[in-house]
Amino acid sequence: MMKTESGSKLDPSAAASEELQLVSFNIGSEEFGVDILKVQEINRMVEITRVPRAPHYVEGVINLRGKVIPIVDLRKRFNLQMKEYDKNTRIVVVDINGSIMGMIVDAVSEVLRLPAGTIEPPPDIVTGVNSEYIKGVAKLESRLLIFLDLSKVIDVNDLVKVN
Amino acid sequence: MTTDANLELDDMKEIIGDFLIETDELLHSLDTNLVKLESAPDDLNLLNEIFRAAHTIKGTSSFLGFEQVTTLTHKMEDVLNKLRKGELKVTPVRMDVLLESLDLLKQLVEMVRSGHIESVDLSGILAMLEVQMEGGAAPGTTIASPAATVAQPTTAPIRVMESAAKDQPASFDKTTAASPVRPGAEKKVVDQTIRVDVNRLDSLMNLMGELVLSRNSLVQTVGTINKDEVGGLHAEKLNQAAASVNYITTELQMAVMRMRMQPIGKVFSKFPRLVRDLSRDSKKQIDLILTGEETELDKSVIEEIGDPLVHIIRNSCDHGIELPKVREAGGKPAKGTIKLDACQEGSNIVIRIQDDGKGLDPDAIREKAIERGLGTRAEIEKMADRDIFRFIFEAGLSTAKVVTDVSGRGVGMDVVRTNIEKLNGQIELDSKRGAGTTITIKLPLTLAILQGLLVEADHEVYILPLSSVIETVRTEQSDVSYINQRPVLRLRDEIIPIINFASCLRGQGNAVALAEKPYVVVVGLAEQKLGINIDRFLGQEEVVIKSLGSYLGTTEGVAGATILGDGRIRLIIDLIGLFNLARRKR
Repeated sequence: MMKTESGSKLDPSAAASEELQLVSFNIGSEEFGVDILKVQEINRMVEITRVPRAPHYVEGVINLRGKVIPIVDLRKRFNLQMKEYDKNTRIVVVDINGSIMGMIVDAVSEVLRLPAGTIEPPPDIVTGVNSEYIKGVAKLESRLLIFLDLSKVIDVNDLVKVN
Repeated sequence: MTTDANLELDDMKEIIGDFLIETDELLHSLDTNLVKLESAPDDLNLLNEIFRAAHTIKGTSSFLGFEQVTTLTHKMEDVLNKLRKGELKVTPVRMDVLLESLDLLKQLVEMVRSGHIESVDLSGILAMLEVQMEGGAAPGTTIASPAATVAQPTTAPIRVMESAAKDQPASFDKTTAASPVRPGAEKKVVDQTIRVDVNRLDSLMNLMGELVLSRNSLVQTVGTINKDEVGGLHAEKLNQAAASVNYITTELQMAVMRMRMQPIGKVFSKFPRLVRDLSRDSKKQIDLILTGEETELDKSVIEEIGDPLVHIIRNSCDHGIELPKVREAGGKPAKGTIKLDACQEGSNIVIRIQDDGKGLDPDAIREKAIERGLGTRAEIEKMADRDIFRFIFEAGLSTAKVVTDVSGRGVGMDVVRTNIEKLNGQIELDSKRGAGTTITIKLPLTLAILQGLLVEADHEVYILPLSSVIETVRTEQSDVSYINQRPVLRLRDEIIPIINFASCLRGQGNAVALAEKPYVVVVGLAEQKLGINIDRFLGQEEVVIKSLGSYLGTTEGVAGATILGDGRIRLIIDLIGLFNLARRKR
């Protein structure tokens, strides 16, 4: 069975008809999705202030209406090749267990509604992305969507270790 | 030791909480005043004040059912009453007994605080008080309730708490604990102070911080408005409004900060007792002179400054001041003096502890430093005395052994340094053999909002806390020398190590490529100084520290971030971290 958080909509005991809403975004040729309930907002690129000796995938901090929040570059996080920021680059601001932070992605595409049942556990070797970050994979009509486990993508303990 | 079980638990907690706060203040004032009484045994105002404090404690404790507290204060009160009436004289032995009872009283109150009330054997101290009371009394004198028999010998206002059941007499505001008796000064205090939960003050301070940032942004935006676009009149009005918001914010900020301020006398007030006890134990004669007790500091600073001061004063008594015979042989008065002074200098508080003891022996410290491998013999022997004295703050060198064998001082000096560092303060030590030692501590007035110096290094802008900046210099290559390939700046008669700001922060070693005429910011932390090589000075701004959040909060060398008037985030440098990074690199 799938590895899920308790009470999550992915819980297999929940009705199969239950719907899941995802925000999907692109990094390189892959399409990713995160639970819409975790997404606070989506912003265009702003000036990022670098923080010395932060983990390599932390770009720095930004001013979000008077709050200082850290920004993670998902390309760096997934050890993918770097790409210049362009007009499509977005910062997806997420709330992970009460901590607000931003993720830099190549582009945000859409909000998807999927029946929970269409998400399958990740195959062993899927993409360039380390499979421990992956909660599941959804098969859409012509493409695959990788459902990310945010608390693994940005793990506080992990950061402390790196530090 | 029973409390009224019928009272609601929460109510009881609140009442006991109030009792503890009030009693703490009273115990504090008793401590100070009893010691004062020794040197001024005929001061009736003082005696009355002491009596009132004891009486209030007795009243409230009996209402709350803390029997042992009541019994003890009752006996103390008996003795005090006789002193007050002139039936007994103030003698050192009598004062010892009173002070001892006070210590016991503190223990009892501490037990109430912790909630573990145990029965303490009071018979010994009660008997001693009894003896003291009988000491000068005519036989047959009965001691009735003192409150009823108060013969008022002076015109000083006596506020005897008739109704001890009131849980908030509030008749002792904080300043009375520290300042000398001021007849009449207490008259109207009752309605003029209010106790506020510290959390509320903190949240007010946070809001204040946000307001300061918004003000900065407003002022900056208004400054860039194009008159032709908006229309001259509008621009003018906008300018005026912004100017007044600016002014009011500054005033408001001062007012909010003042609400968190407490007089340093609160800390000072425990020292007379400390010095008295130490001098009695060591058979020395020491005068403690306190000045500037009314100087105010932020509450958070007050809480941290007590311990270091205790260490310093204890050192002065133990190792600084000599025995009377030694002093006289050296041509000094038999009685030693320790001066403790506080005053405000700009946005800093300066605390000075000065003794006329024997001073530090720089040569002995040199030897110890060489022994401990803090430098080569040649290096250390070349160093000026002032730099040598800094070694006593090194952990390990400040051991009791060094102190007794060598010269003077050092116990707990690393505690002093750690606490002062935590407060972003600076310490300077000056000593002359035979003439005494002066320690100067400089602390920022408040920790929440700080004046920042904006500097640019390697295309990034950083903020240094201005209170730690000693000076900024544009120097010449020729003023920079190298010791073991590490650059140092010769500034007047001082040698200050230089670091490259950006690379040091990034942990990339200290490859200093100095410009033709490098800019250097000299910063101080505790006893040390460091020169920071930067590219440009950008200005000064009032900033509020915001945390980088749990993800980045632990980044060494960065205290947090702030948002400037233009909306940009800039990092505020944590000097402790920066000094550590620099030390590791060197």
